[in-house]
Parts: sequence; C-alpha cells; structure tokens
Amino acid sequence: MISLLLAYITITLFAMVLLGIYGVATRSNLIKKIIMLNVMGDAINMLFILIGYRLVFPVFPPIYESHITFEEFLSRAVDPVPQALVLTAVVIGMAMNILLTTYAIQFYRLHGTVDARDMAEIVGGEEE
Amino acid sequence: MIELHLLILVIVVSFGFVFSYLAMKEHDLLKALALSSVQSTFFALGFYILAAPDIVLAYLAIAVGAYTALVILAISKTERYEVGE
Amino acid sequence: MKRDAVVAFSFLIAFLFIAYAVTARNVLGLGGTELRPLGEFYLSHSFAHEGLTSHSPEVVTAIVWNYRGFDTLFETFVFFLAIMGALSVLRLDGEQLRQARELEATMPHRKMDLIVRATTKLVVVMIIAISASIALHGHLTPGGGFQGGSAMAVAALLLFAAFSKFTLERKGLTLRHTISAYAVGLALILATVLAPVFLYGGKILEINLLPGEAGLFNLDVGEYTAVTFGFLTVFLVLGIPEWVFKNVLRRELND
Repeated sequence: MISLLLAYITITLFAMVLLGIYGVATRSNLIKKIIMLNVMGDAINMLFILIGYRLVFPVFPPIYESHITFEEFLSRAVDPVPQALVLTAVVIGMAMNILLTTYAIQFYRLHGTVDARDMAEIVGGEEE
Repeated sequence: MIELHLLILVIVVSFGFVFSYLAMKEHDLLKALALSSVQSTFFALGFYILAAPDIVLAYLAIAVGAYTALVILAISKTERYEVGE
Repeated sequence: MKRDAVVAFSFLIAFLFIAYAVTARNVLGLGGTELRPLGEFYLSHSFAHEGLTSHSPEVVTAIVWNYRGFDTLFETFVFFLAIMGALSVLRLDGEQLRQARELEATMPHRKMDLIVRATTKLVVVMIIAISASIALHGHLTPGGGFQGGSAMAVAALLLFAAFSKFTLERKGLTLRHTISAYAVGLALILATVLAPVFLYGGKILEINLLPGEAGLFNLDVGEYTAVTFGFLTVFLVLGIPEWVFKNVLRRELND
C-alpha cells in the first residue's frame, strides 16, 4: 500500500515535469512559457523535498524543541539538506522570473509582440 | 498512520497536475495564471505535509503573492490573450 | 503534424523509462526510514555544546547560513544582479523621471473605498509584525531572512494595490530610498561575514562566526532588509503606467 502510494506520487510529479517542458516547448506566448517554467520548477522542488522525507510516525520538522529528548529528535526528524537546497532554489527562481518578465515587457515595447513565432523574423532575418 | 500523510499527498499532487494541465490549455493568460496559483496553493499544503515549515513560509509568499503580482503587471503591459496555432 | 507525433512519442518513451526507474529500481532512494549520514551530521551537530556547532536549534537556517554559507552568500549576489539587470533594462534617467512624475500627476486621482483602505491599513500592520517575527526569530523558530522578506514584499504589494504608487512616493518611499536600504542590508551581510577576519584572524564565513547567536541574527536581519527592498525596487519601477513610459520614450526619439 505504502509503496503504491509513493509510486503514484513520484510518477505524477515526473509527469508534471514533462508537462512543464512540453508547455515551454509548444506554447508560443512568452508569458505562457514563464508560467509553464514555474510549473516545472514547482514539481522538481516537491520531488526534492520528497527524497528527504522519512516514513516514520509521528514525523518532526528539522527544528529542535526542548520538550523532546535528543535521541527521539534524531530518530524522527526529516533530512534538512534538501530543504536548505530548495529554499535557495525558490528564491533564485523568483529572481529568474523577475529578469525574464522584464525582458518580455521590454521586447513588447520595442517590437509590439510577445509571440515567439514573430521573434524569428524580427531578430534574425538572415537565415535561409 | 503514515498512509494518511501519503493519501493527502496523493490528493495534492493529483489536483496540482490537473490544474497545471488546465493552465497549459487555457488561452486567456489571466485565467491561466489563476489556475497555476491554485496549483501553487495545493503544493504549499504538500510542503506542510512533508514537514518543511521553512519552505512553506517562503513558498506561499513568493509563489502566491509576489510571483502572481509580477505576472499580472507583465500581462497588463503586454497582451492578455494568447494567439492560437 | 509529423513533428508533433515524434515529440509525443519521445515524451511517452521518456515517461515510461522514468516510471520504470523510479518504481521498480528505486533510483531516488525514496521511502526510507533511516537518515542519510550528511543529514544526521547536521541534525546532531547544529545544537550541540561543542564541536562544529552553530548554536541554533533551527537546523535549516544553520545549514543555509553557516554550513553552506558561501552558497547563500553568492545566491544573495545573484538576486542582487537579477534586480539590477531588471532595473537597468527599465530605468529612466533623471530628466525622464521628472517628466514621468509630471505625467503621473496629471492622471485623475481615483480613490478606493473607505472599507478597502481601512482594512488594508489593519492587515498591513499585521503582515509587517508577522514578517518581522519570522525574520528576527529565524534562528530559533521556522523562518529566516528570505521568508520574512518575501512576506514583507506582499505587504508592500497590498499597499500598492489599495492606494497607489504615487501615494507611496509622496510618503517618501522613492526609488532612491529603496535602493539605499537594499545597499544597507547587503553591507550588513558583508560586515558580518568579514568580521571574524578582523576580530580574531579567522577565515571568512567560519562556523561560530560571532559569539553565541549574534552571527546568525545579523545575517537574518541583513537578508530581511535586502529581500524586502529588492522586491520593492522592482515593483516601484514596474508600477509606472505604460502610457507614461510610451510618452517619455517618444519624446526621447523626437529629440
């Protein structure tokens, strides 16, 4: 039962990653590409946190509190390393969003379009 | 009892997948953004179940607050509707 | 049409391969009940009384700022560079900024409802209090500089939507002030990082930066200031209406 549920969760998360890649590749609007990129990033972050999870009950967050003993804390707390990495990834993802959105707005101001199919004619007209 | 946690995660991940699929299919960008925010809210619940309170605090403020406002500003400065194929 | 079929087929193959590897072979090592050795080291050393301790019961903040300090330091710089990149694309110089002010002042002044304004004032005070408690207790309870800063950015956005950018600037929250506050936050982080070198000849970002919890506290406060005012800078620039920008840029073209 437990392994079945875990398999369902991981497969759905990987399907979301593939869905994000598919959206980035096939949608032509730049803002839509940014939205789908975030869907992909969210799924990857969730998968990363899931690697650090432990199948014990009750499970504690990695914050030591004084009403439990240290041995009990060690036997029940989840792995803190993936959480520290994902915390970095969330903030860097937001910085990346700010930069991408800014470039999309500036491209719209200069050329009046945010469609990736029109960008090829505007930017590089020399091929073929 | 650990099955209960995993069942909640199954529900969270399923709804997240469905809403992100709907966001991909939507041609109105504001609606797509709202659907992806719903997916972010479900994921915040998932992070809480996975015993990561630090991530919940950062992720809720960024993915539901700041990111949504940023993209709404971007949509208001560019086009609202996506041109179909 | 043929290209679509090829793309769909390759995605199906990738999906089946990943599903096989994750479920049948368990390549990610999911579903264990034991800690990994690295996680056990951090959990047992973070609040110990001797050894490589960082005097913090909050293990995630201890890893972020002490054990993996260089990672987070350069991440702060990446965030700074992203915001400066956005600012350098969207910026207006002094004369253009003055023109934009004049154009904004001609806009009809629309006020939100009294209920909306009163509720926003109450909620903003609450959000500021909560974000300060998240950030300043970051080394004891869940939270830290990033979390508090992003919560504070939400409060700024709420003010932005209920009142206007014009009101915020009249109250003294101009672009110059937010960038100065951002620089102050970054300077506090750098000072805390460099302090052990000059105080007792240690190395940069050594574990046990300053006596007791002072190191983690200073870094959290610096990061709180930096993230808050970084977000605020971007939203102040993006909040200028599009027709003002177009007018200003057209004048520049005509000159």
